[in-house]
Amino acid sequence: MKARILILLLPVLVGCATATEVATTVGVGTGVITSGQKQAIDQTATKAERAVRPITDREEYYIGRGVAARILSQYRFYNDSETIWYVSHIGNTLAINSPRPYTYGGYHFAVLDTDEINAFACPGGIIFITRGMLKLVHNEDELAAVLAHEIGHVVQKHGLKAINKARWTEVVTTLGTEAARAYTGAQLDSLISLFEGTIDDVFQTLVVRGYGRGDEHEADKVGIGCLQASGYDPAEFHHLLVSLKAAQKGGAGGFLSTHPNITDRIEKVSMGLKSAGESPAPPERIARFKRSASSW
Amino acid sequence: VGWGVQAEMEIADTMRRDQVRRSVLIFMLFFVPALAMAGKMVTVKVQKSTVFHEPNFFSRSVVSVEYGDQLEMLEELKDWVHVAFRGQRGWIHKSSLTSSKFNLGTVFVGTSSPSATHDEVAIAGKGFTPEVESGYRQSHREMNYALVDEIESYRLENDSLRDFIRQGGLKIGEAQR
Repeated sequence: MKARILILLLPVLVGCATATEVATTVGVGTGVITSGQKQAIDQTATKAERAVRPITDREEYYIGRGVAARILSQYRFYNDSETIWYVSHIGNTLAINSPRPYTYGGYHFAVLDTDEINAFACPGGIIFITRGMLKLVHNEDELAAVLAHEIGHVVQKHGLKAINKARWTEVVTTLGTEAARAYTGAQLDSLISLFEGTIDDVFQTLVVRGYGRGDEHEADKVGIGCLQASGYDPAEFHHLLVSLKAAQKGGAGGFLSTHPNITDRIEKVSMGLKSAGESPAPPERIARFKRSASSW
Repeated sequence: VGWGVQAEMEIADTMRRDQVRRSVLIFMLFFVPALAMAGKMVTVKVQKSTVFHEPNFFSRSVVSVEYGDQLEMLEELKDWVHVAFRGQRGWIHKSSLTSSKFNLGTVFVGTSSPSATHDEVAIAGKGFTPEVESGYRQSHREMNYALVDEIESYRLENDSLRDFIRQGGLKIGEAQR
């Protein structure tokens, strides 16, 4: 009997826009739910389906700018043109060898004037490295490893994962179904407040709490891929983590408070490096690192 | 002898049929997907990107494209897409593209309403926009957006990056080709 109803419902089902509508239409047809219940379920599902729409690259860019602005309101910017030039060249070499060479606003690299050993990747590609981290690395390949790991976070959009899901759902709900030409005052106020909360979500994860273990391993994996594709020695990634662990024992904060699983990462990175075999760094790479490092 | 001739004719006939089958198969494998792809439109989802002469970041630039530009997709090669735009053809990296049926201009200038869609670029006219950022900046003057703008304005010359890569014994994006 129910099969017959289904056959009769077929032309109606074909016209349904979503899987939920198909299910509720069948539900009404078979007497499982009433038409009133169908309407309520369809409306809820439509809201949920709208809510799952991903954050676009353009929105990611504005969130990243907000996070960067907040970081720069707390840290001093290291305005040394030679260092910016050097770090930006390494970073962009890695970025074009990454799975995501283009982001909405592109990759940008900057140095924070602090002894804290740290690095931050804002969503969309603004990447900060501290002078403390610059002083820790021993060569260009180790510096590349820090930047490659941060690019890994951008590639995987880890920063966006930190955004409270309910907050993002509210953003989409606030936008409504109508393609309004301009926001109403109340809509804009609400979106600004949600934007502030979103920036705070990402900032707290980047600067205060740190990413989860899974995200760190994923960023390491992408980072190693970028290093290998760029011609850097991925084994230096291992040396970098060992240096970070030693600094952790020495009681340094910053990176080490937001990246607590160094031993675990050293083990995983070592496993991933077994097949790697890069030629030693040419003299120019060694020389330019020494020239730049003299000002750090 | 007669049997032999007939057998030869049958063999020749079978070979011809095989040849036709092979030709049809080759056509299906290579030309049909190309025909299906030709005419498919893709949209630039990043602020700026470049269509290169070859699928390589250091190849000659054919034309610059901007957010919302629609390009005709001709073929794909790994992470690169061969496109046609304003009468010119070249290669663009796929990370700067999204599939879209919509004309973005209408979303931004508000001359018409786009249909409800999950399409990435079409929905980007709403959400966290420059208008929202501007409102946030007004109420949070302590946030250092001036420095963010300065950091974003720093651009590397393509030649400079290519020299840096070569002199350092590094690789020029071969993995992306």
